[in-house]
Amino acid sequence: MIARPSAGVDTARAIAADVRAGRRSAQAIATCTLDRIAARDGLNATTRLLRQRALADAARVDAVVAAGGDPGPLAGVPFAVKDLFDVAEETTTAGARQRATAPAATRDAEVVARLCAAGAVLVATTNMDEFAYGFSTENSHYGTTRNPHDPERLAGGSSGGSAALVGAGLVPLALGSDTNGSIRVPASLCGIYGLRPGFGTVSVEGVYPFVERLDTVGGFARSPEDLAIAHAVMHGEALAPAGQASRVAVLGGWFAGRADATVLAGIDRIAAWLNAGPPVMLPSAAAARSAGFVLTGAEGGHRHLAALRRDAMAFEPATRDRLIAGALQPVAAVREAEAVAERFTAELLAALTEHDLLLAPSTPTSAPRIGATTIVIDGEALSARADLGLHTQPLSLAGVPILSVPLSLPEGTMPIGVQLIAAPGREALLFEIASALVAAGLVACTPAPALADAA
Amino acid sequence: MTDITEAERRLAILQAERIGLVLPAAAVDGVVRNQRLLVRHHAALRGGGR
Repeated sequence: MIARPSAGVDTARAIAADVRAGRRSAQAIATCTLDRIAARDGLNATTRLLRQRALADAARVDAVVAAGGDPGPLAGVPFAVKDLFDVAEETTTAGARQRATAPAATRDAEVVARLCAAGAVLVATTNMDEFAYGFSTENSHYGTTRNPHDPERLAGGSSGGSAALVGAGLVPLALGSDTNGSIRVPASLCGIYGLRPGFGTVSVEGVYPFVERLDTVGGFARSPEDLAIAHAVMHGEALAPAGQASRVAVLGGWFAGRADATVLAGIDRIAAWLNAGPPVMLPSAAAARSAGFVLTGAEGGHRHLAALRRDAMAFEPATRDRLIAGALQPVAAVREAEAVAERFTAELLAALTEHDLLLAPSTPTSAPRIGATTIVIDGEALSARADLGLHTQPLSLAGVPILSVPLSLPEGTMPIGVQLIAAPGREALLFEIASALVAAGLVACTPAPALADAA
Repeated sequence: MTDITEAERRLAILQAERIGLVLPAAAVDGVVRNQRLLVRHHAALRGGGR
């Protein structure tokens, strides 16, 4: 059942403007946010509410305003973080039961600290696939996160708890990580914006690693403008000017197949509006998807090998079996995957010297039903879990910035997103194009469901 | 997907032992299924499709 949409949800920019002007109190916003999240626990999006910390931080923001100061561009904006980010005095579980008793973090992850220094108020940590290895946020220890637009369906993963909270309109901003698509996939399925920044743009300090050569940290939001503000704060300096976007193309071949008609038609509409040229083919795309799969299994498996030797049964079964198989791969296959990754990266970067913007589906389909094992597209049965990352996984290898934007679709349609891909350092271009597509009516955040529907 | 064979199970257990890992009985079939998937990806790296 697709939930009925609610009235509009405040953006981060609107909240911060009100708090900085003294029209609203950060403490009242934090209290309201915490209560609303608690009332929606059926989503299973959070792993803990940080009420005491949130109220103390909000009080500090209000005190700065009362004293005539400026708490920052995110004054009083409530946000949540995947339970992969260090939060001072809390244990970073990384979605793993075996980490539940690990020592608490002594300080916030760098990006959490930067957002809080800009006035944002951390209210919750969110659910995820164990050790970020998955696209579904089905966690046998912490439960399955449900899609805010249809609780019978997946929210996507591995940053699914963060995406579900933003998709539900419970927070305007949340953080996730993206190794193979763990921001872009849930953003697509939950009908919101999700940025995988370019390599090295945003600090991963204090974030539990998965595959270091691919790991990135980014945000979810309900508008491109909110995401741009948060990204600039996390980046730590003003973004490079956007520049022109006169050369646009759709990625063909691998990226034009295995996707349902809704997303392909949406890409065609965007391409037509942007006067896109002929499709671009990346010859190594299919092999690159496999390279991402192989490298993730190998590095992830070896990262956790000591723990697997100690007590393999402490892992979630699906994660354990993937990690072990990944660690058992022959070295020659891993070397081949590295060579493919290098070749594909060169192909994509070459395409991005000739184009300002490339387009591809974020997911092959909208959210699968919880419990479904396959999705059928063009008569081909795909995995309802691993293949959600078909179109995100190869692109991750190149380390370029990618923004997943939600297509504007008729009311009652489950959301699906499109990847906007740019050259390294051009995050600002992605935000500007997304805003233009919103103004053109081609892209829109899926309306948040009414609170009563999900109780 | 075809049934997992005893030979596949034995090989997975042996491979795991070589890297110092005692494969729990509950994990054997799941590991083999993932190995089959990875073999298809290894073939795709060489342009073998998937």
